[in-house]
Amino acid sequence: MLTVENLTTGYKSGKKTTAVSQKISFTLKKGDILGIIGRNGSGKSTLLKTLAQLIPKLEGSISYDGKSLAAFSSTVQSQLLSIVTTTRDFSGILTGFDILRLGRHPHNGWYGKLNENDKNILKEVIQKIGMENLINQRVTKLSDGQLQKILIGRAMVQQTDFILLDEPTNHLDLHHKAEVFRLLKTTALEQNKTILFSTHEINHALQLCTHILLLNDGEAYFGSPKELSNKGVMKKLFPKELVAFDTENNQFKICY
Amino acid sequence: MPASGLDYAVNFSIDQIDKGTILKVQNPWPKSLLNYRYLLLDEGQETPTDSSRFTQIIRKPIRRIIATATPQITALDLLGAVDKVVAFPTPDFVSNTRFRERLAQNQITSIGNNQQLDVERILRLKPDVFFAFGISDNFNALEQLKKAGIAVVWIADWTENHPLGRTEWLKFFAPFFDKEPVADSIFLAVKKEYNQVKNKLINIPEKPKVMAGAIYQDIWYLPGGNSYLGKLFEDAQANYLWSDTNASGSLSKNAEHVILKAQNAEFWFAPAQYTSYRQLEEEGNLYKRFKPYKTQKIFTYNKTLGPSGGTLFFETGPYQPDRLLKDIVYWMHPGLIENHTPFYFTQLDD
Amino acid sequence: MTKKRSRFGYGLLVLGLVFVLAFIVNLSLGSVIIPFDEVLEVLKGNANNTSSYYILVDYRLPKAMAALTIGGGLALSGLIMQTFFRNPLAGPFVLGISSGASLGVALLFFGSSIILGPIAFQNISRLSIIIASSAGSALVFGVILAVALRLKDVMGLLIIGLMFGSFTAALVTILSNFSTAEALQRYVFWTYGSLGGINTSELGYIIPFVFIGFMGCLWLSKSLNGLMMGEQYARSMGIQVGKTRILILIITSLLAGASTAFAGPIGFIGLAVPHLVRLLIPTGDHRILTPAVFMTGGSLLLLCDTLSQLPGVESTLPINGVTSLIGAPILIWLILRKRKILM
Repeated sequence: MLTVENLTTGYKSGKKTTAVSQKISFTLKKGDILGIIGRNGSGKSTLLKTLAQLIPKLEGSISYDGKSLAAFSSTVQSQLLSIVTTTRDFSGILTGFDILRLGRHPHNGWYGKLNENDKNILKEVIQKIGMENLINQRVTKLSDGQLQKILIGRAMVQQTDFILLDEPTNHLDLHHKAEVFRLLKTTALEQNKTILFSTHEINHALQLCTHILLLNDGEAYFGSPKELSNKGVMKKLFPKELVAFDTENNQFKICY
Repeated sequence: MPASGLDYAVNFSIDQIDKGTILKVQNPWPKSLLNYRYLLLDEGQETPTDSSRFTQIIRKPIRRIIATATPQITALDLLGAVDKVVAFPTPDFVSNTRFRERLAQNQITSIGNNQQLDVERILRLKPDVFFAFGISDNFNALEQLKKAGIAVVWIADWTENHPLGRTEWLKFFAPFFDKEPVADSIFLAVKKEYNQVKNKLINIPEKPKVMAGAIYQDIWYLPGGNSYLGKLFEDAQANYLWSDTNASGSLSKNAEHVILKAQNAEFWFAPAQYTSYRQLEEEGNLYKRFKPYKTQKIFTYNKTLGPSGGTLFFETGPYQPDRLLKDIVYWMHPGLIENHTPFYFTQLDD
Repeated sequence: MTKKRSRFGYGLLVLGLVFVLAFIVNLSLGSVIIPFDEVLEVLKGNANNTSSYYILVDYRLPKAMAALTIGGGLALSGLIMQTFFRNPLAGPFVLGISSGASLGVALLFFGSSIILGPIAFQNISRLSIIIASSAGSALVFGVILAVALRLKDVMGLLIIGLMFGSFTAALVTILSNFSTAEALQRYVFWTYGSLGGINTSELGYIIPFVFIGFMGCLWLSKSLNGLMMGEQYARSMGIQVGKTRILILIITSLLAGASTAFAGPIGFIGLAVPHLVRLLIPTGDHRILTPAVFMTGGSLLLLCDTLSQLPGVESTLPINGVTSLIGAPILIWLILRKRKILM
């Protein structure tokens, strides 16, 4: 169980502190899928990086089963959470398989040797993401959608309780968007993982996620899609004349 | 070929005319194509109308000299003219006693080093003659001196290959001080002594194998067959292993080639900068394989130093070739020379 | 998957054979012609007292050992620099290690000729050159390390290293202006690089240093592999990026500094060999690249050393010139053939 209490995220540079989001609190359990939505610059990436222990939090606590996440060693942390970022510039020599096998790092010894178990996991994941034919292709030759599946596959191979994804469906066509969202859903359900991702695909998120975290003007709202809709939070996101929220279908619609 | 009146030196010639002396100098450094004509005017004489055909005109009397190489000091001392020297580059390098006395009394000015002469200081010293020494045509400073009217005279003694040829340069300096008879008699005495030793050896049945030099940066540098040391070896009846080379300077050879050729040499002279067997040993096993190392027959001139560490081989050696020859013969043909203590070439330290 | 692994294993085997071959060829060829069966006799350990034996054992063998360890060490150093900076132009000297060494040696030559006089200058021993070079490298390393501990940005570190290199090079130029011609010449000779001057006792330092560097690279392979996805991913996989960074700097400085101290600055090998290897064995896996790069670097330097002292030719070419003369065309040809570099 992941518990976040009164979390303030931001950046410190010398003596100056810039807070991006304040007083974020939520709890997630295994199998939950959290969609983090908000306008550009609302702090979605910052939150994900903070949760992933890539940047330090300013205030508040992040704990896993009651224990503060920062207290775990880096090895244990890497066995608890894995990430998929928006980075695309990888070394041109890497193949899909190379990236996938890196996911086993937290689990294998100093030399990085793969044992039988590792190999089976890799085989399974390659099948799940449907990349059997392209797995040995250099990643620079893969399409955006294919690369994204590789990156998610890598996180799956890492076999962590939490997977954090930053805008996983950017630049993808609907076909690949659908594949990615379905992959996230089956992973959460079948593998009992907790998935947190930030996205602009608000409607898809409302459809897919068990919980939503909405960041807006420094405020944070957490709850299931239905809860937030009932509280009237959704309406706050956009000017009424531009985009309206259809409470019946839980969808945003553009007003023409 | 030496000019008339000279026996061995090829780099200069002297011609007397009624106004003074014409001195010609060639080969101031190896492979130079330049030669110079100097007119040394007697006291009171007027500059001739055709003065443009001379590189420089020098007027006697010479009272103030700037010299630039240590053998020049030796020559000047032999001619009684050391007291006229007013400046020298890095003067502490000089070993000559009278020179050092005057240096200690601040009567000799330092003028930088030979690559970076202090031109202003030289101009202020107003020398009557500037004896120049250089290893290449990098003489911007000297051009400046000439433009300022200073009489720059190139000295090409060190490119003479015959040992007596270097000594004969005494005759070049002599006219500057009207000391020709002194120069002639000193030279004759040295020549006689040298040739006496040389002739004594001519019929020696066995010529021992001799090697020289050492490795620097993967290359073994050693004297060519026609070089100064090469000639000394030849006159000492040595079988210098590179005597068949025509080189008058230094040879660069591959270390393997030297091991192959010289492993069983009898004697090893002038092992570059090494002055002890321990130093040779520190370089690994290579030098230890040569026979002269094992039999301790290695001789160097680098241990014979003046009071400030100057190597006497370069300073006084050129005017004592007989002593150099005797040293080599002393070590190579023991018993052949009596009553001689080696001076320039001595054994390596342990 | 298994097909690729065995292909890399095959590649390593070929490189290993080339490595052994280069070693034997280097021993067999030199300016003096020694028949091959004599070389074999010596390799078998049969001693005799001929000059050929001495040439082989006292001259060629230490030189060959020096070439293979220094070539391998420099190549490894280049490999980890390229991975660390994710820059194909990085090499072992990009942090200014050889500039620091040059400064140390320049101070020794120029300083002693100016301050202590010509006698002291003539008596500068090889040991003092080695110490001066190491001290210069160590100084630069210390500064780079201090900067690296405070600066998170890897690109900034690269620029600082390059600037440091320029700065020390400028200092050397200024110093050389005041030195004697002999000192300048000696300094220039030092920059030519030299493998022949390395004797067996010096090998006693070089070999352990390079061995430590090699094992360090193997140890770091997992972290280096992870770094190929960038620092964020590396960290998320449990790699301690800060510690890895320091270790990389230490290993590079050790390998580059040691080789420069004993053999002078030998260029090209560190920069080019990792590219060469990646073009031949296209993998980013440092567990394979480490031995591959080491063997290729050693083979290349052995080849260059052989070419600098050919049979019948009585003079020696400076090793620093030969490395670029031989290596550059090979690399250019390979890149043009493959139409790209892999990094």
